[in-house]
Amino acid sequence: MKNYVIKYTYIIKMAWIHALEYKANLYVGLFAIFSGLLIEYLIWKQIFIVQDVEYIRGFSFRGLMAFIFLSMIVGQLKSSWVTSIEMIDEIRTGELNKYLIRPISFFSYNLMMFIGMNSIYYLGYSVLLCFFPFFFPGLILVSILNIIGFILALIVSIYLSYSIYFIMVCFTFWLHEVRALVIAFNISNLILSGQIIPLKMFPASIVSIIHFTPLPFLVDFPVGIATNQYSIDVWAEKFLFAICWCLLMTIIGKIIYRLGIKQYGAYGA
Amino acid sequence: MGPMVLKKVKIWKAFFSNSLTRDMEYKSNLIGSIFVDIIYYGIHYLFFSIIYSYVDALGVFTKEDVIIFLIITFLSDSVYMFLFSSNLHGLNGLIVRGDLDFMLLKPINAQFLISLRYVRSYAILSIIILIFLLIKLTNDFYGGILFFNWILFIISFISGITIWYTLDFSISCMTFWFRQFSMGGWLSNELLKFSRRPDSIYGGIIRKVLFTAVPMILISSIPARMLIYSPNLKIFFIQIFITILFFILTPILWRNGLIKYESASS
Amino acid sequence: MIINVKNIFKSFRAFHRKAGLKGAITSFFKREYKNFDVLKDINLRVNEGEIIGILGENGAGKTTLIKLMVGLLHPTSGSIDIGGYTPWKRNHKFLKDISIVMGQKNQLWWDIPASESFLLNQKLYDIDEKIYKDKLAELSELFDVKDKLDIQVRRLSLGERMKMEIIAALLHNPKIIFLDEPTIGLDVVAQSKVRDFIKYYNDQYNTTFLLTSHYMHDIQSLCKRVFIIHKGENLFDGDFSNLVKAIKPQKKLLFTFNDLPSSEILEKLNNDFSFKISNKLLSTNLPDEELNNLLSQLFKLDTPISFSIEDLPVEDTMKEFFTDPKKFI
Repeated sequence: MKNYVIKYTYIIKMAWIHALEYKANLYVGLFAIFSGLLIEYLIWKQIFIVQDVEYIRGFSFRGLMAFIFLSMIVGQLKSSWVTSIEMIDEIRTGELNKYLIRPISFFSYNLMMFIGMNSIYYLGYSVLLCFFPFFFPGLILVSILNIIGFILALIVSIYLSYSIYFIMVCFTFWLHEVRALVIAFNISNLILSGQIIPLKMFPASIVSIIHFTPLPFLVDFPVGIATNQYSIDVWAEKFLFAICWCLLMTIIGKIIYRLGIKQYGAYGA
Repeated sequence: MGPMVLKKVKIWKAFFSNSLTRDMEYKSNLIGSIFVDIIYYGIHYLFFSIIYSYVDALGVFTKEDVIIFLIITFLSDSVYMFLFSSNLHGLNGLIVRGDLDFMLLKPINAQFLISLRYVRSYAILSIIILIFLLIKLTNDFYGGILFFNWILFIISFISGITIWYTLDFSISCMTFWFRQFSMGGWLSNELLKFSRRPDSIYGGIIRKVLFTAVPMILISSIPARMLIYSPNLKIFFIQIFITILFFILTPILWRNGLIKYESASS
Repeated sequence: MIINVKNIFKSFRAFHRKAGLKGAITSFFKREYKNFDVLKDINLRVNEGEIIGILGENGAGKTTLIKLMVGLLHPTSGSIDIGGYTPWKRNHKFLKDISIVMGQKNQLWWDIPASESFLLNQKLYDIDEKIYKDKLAELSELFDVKDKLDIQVRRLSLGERMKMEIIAALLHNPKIIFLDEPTIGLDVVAQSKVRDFIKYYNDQYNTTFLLTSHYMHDIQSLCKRVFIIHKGENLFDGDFSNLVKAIKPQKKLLFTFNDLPSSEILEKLNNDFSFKISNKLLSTNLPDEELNNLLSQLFKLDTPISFSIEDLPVEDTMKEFFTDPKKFI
């Protein structure tokens, strides 16, 4: 166990060092969040003005902006689609060999790499989040409990997102062009996870379908905790569901990987 | 001038032939790309459906106007993907790995070669479907569009694609100075977000910036306006002027970038 | 087309940081850059029709020099004139007169047959249809790859891919061809074919070849003249065989005794000359003069069953040279 921790902690550290070479990533990430927020601000400002109301679906205008702002941050932090594309290429080109001949797991190694590479965002956005209570007083991270709940839900979201992508990656063993699947999922979960429009704003029929999927736990759940959308008594149930989804995705991923590795031809490298 | 243009057309035909040959090897790419397009169009439509469940119009853009705007956005996406995106988003990699070498050694304008070398041939399918949809829906919603509007739209559309190209190209060229700018593609996409919403949501200084310095409004919104609203020649000519200005700057940027090029080791 | 390189300097700027997390965090906030002088005051003149080898250890600046000559890089200072053209101005007529083959990079598309890429080159270089067909026929015949032209490049072997790369580089009949390690990774048969081809092509068309290679066989069989770069500076420019002689290469002696002398005698001889004895076979590598001395001593001791003197592979000679080049020049 100790060796396991040392090994994978070191991978995170290496990825972190690598990520620090690319500070432009953080600047573009920040630009992505602020530009996205600006567009949503302009659209919803018009809607609130035209409707001439103070609340829409329980959201005040400021509350909605706070939710969307945090959703965009969480959306960026949990998205491992770039890592997934790299993993697909590794299987296709035979680079998977380097994992198979060493005592490391393809799943764990890339998860640690993903976390390490994202470290620059964790640092940058943590600094940003410190200013949130000043921009949105009373709306975001109002108590220590909210902060802890948010961090835990974020960890679950990152893991869940990664394990969903991992399942898709494993289909590379049979299908050559799985990238399209990953890209399609990435595009669709931008909206369907509540990253751009809170799920509460969706028509009820669509929300009821989404609730049968793990998508609400990717963005809506952690942001909902941070913005006090969920009372504490609801947390336990939602965390349980989220963890069940994580377990399910992990098990499915493991099964598909084991089936797929028997197909693996180690072509190329 | 004439023979030079003719030569470039011939060369582009060879690019297309090469790319088509390659794409035919990977039929699954075609299916994958259609699948992604469907999801992409569907998600954008869903977004606006939700927004328009709360309002009847965003500025002057009614729901029908926004659907036409969306189709024009998708059409410009498809045309851009067909011509440029495979090339410009790979430029960072070419510069960093030194793979630009062979392209620079060909006796042809290097910017032309780098910008148009790879053609995503299967985007043609989307283009055809979207043109058909555009014609049909404009007829259904507005009972037909004047021929003059169509002419303005076509010119404005081409102008919008050109603006998009110049911005993307300029961002890709940053690798010459920053040595590694893999975030260029991401940055381009984030800027492009501004063009994927109707311009009527932008006001004040933001609108001025998105009309001039970072002219994202000119990519889809203005062509949509040319098509479905009364002709606004002032905006039309401003768009043409800004397009030409940006386009002229690209070879200057390219030439200066080449001086910095270090052609990574063998 | 004459190549004139005058007082060329080229330096690169690169950022450096200490290893480890601390170094990474420091460099995130403040980057330190260093200048590296890759080429210092290089002068070279190449006449039309020459085959010249550009030699040097890894990192000496060979490829940088080639890239300056084809116009991929701009020099820090100095000038290059090739047939009246300045390479980095990338005049199209100049580009039609040159070509480059890089052993470690490909210009052909992987996923389509080479013939498709050749067709594209025909358009790019404005090659007349008949000339193109004749040239392609000639080159594919010479390389014996006619039946491989319509196979995807990625399905070809390394040797076949390199042949296709060379064909692509020659279709437009360039006057100057730059070859940057063209035989790297090829088997001995393929290497030999490439060398034979270069010789033939040079004879036939009086094309100038500038070649870099770490395989001394390439240099020895193709290049009368070599230009040696050491740490960015021009160390030697002249006849390759004269260079080899100047290094005073060793030769290998194999001497089989008929009657092995006593161990005392052999030990005494071993004090003056270094050699090994196994059964009755004496073997040694010595410079010419020493070897002759040893041989005359051996003949005084015994009449051998057999003996032979061989030149050591030129690789070994050049290896000695590159260990400390300034010792020899």
